[in-house]
Amino acid sequence: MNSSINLNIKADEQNTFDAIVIGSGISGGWAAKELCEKGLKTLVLERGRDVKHITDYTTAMLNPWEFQHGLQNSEQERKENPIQSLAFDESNKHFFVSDKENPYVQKTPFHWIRGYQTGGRSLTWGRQCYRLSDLDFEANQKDGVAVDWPIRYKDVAPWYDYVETFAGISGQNEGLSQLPDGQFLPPMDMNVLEEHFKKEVKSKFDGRCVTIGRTANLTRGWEGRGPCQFRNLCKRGCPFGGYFSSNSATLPVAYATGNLTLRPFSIVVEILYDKDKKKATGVRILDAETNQTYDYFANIIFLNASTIGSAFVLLNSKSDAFPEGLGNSSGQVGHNLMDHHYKVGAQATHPGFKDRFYSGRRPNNIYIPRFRNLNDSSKRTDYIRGFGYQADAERQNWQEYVNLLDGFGTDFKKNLTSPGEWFMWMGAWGETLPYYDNMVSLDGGKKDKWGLPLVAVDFSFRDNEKAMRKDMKESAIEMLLAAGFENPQGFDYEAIGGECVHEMGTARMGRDPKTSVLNEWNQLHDVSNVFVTDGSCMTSSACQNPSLTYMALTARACDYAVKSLKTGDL
Amino acid sequence: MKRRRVIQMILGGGAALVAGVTGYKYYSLYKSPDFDILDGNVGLIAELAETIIPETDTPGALSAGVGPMIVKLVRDCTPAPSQNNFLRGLIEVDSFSNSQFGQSFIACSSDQRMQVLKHMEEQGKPFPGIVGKVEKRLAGESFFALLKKYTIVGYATSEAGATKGFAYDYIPGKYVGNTPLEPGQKGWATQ
Repeated sequence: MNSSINLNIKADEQNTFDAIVIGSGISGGWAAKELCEKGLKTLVLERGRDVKHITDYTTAMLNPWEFQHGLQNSEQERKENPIQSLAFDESNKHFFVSDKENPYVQKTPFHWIRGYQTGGRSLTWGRQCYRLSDLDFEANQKDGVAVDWPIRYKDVAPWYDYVETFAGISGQNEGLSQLPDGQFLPPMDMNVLEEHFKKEVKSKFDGRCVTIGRTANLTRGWEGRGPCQFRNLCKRGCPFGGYFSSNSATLPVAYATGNLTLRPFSIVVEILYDKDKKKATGVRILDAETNQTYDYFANIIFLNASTIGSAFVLLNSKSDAFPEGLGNSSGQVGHNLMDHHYKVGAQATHPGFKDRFYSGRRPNNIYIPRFRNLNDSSKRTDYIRGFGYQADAERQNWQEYVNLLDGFGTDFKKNLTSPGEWFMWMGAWGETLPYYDNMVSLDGGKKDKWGLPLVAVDFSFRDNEKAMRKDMKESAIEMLLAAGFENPQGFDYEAIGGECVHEMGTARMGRDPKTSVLNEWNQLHDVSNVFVTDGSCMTSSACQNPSLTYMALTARACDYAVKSLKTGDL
Repeated sequence: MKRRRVIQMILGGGAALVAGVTGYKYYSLYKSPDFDILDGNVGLIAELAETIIPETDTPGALSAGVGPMIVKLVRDCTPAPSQNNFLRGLIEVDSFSNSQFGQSFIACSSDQRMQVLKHMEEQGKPFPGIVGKVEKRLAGESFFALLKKYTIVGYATSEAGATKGFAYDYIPGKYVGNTPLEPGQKGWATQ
């Protein structure tokens, strides 16, 4: 009997860490780095397989002709993975989950794009990095929407500096209040038509700015990574470490401290809670390969399982103290789900610059920061908040000619293989308001192959987004025409939630524990040693690509958590 | 998500709407395609592709190996209605060629081949505007539209096509946004 007690104690010791991080994606990777660097023995739980930097980027160096189907998805692939195949192609499908093995319930159409592996979606992300501003942090309060953010720009600004300086973001400072400047590596080039567009917009539209995209691609060697080789194959994983991912950047630093243990195939079932101590004690996982249950223990827990994944973990962590899920005394967990709405804008051709071209493949676009509802003169009566454009100019080539070029034969071939007319594509990314009934919940009736309840998603865009979309299209056409473009074609494809892969809001920050899940330090109001720093913390969505904000809030929360540990507050 | 992805999603749209298509029409569109027709016509497909992208001072579709790629794309990456359109089109190519010129497409002169393809192009023209879009959704893409699309994709992603027909830079190392367009400059094979 004694020996078995000893065994248990030993097992507990082996399973005990200073900190546990749930998830290894963009925010989990940051939590791992920060906590390990601060000296905490840290366990990172990743529900998928391990993906090692460089060695596991199996397609990264392949030429187009080394793929079976010229990079097209097969019909079988589309049938088996109807959601994920919208986001992958033949070159990177191994970084996306199997829809068949990972079902969820769509109460309304919602595309949940996922990557269950070390690094999560940081391997395949779009890499655009923009700061939020006080225009965003004050918006809910000013508009009387949802709840107020418990933080302001000044609280996050030094942490934006901090994460940009490590990650390596290339971009151009523009001195805009709605899109604060940052710590940037040299900006990438605009091409000749983009430069022209920038000048025209500046001279013809008061207060509008065209700038090169701010992207987590390294325009010079940085922290032993990169530089970017301008192959534009980021989504396959970069063997040059040319862009920021958990795999290339944060996890190697965490490993180097000797404090990191990463456990792949670890599906978190629940966070364990001790109602006497009023603290979380650890995490229960299912080994995805063996179906065995294991418990791990730590003083602090960072939940970084992605917006929907983290909501699942909280909702599934039911106890006497929290019958509706851990940290859910407010009833807000899972609610207020947001995603940016996009797939609206315009494209047009330009008759000029026929003697100019470009070389290299820039993994970046140009950006037009928000210009609506900034002040009285840009105020709209038909909607609140705003949108930004991502755009790029190119000369038409075979991808366009597939649909454009008539005929066949020798002349056709000559046209097909020659640079065609210049054109620009402009797409808008719009803010979505937080609606209480846009939400994820647990579907008690249906279980996955591990016996866990399925996530159910109920989501729709509403009147404010719809009114904004009209302007998103019309303003694109207006700017293109003003800059001398021809034949503008507006587009507004049906927006489906999740498509933008910017899910946010299911465990929002706020000042009042009655109406929000997290406080100003991303700490559960209800359970002080659990921090949630992925997209679920977002109180509003703003219109900027959000990952940089998750990074900054994660580093900030780690700093606070470790300081609190040291002072004995945790 | 990047722009290319958005466009691909728009073009891709694999799921065909079947409302309004009934009876025999539905059957002929959605029946299991007879791939023997495909396998028996690899040579014809390669020659059709060569007619679209012929050998000039750079390789044509035939020597770039586009024929076998089209077969793979039709078999693996094409919804059933479009597959059936493609297979019917293959048969029609030779029946038209036989009726007009008394010989199979492969036996035809290059001028005759052009005429056969012109006929197929005419046949495959969609109705203009929204009607054409609905038609494409319901009945799949035409033989000619598929043949041409897959010839272009196959050629541009083949080694000979990408590196000799187009300009291909495996590892550019940098992006230069404003260069002179040199005489004879090819378009980039990859973006």
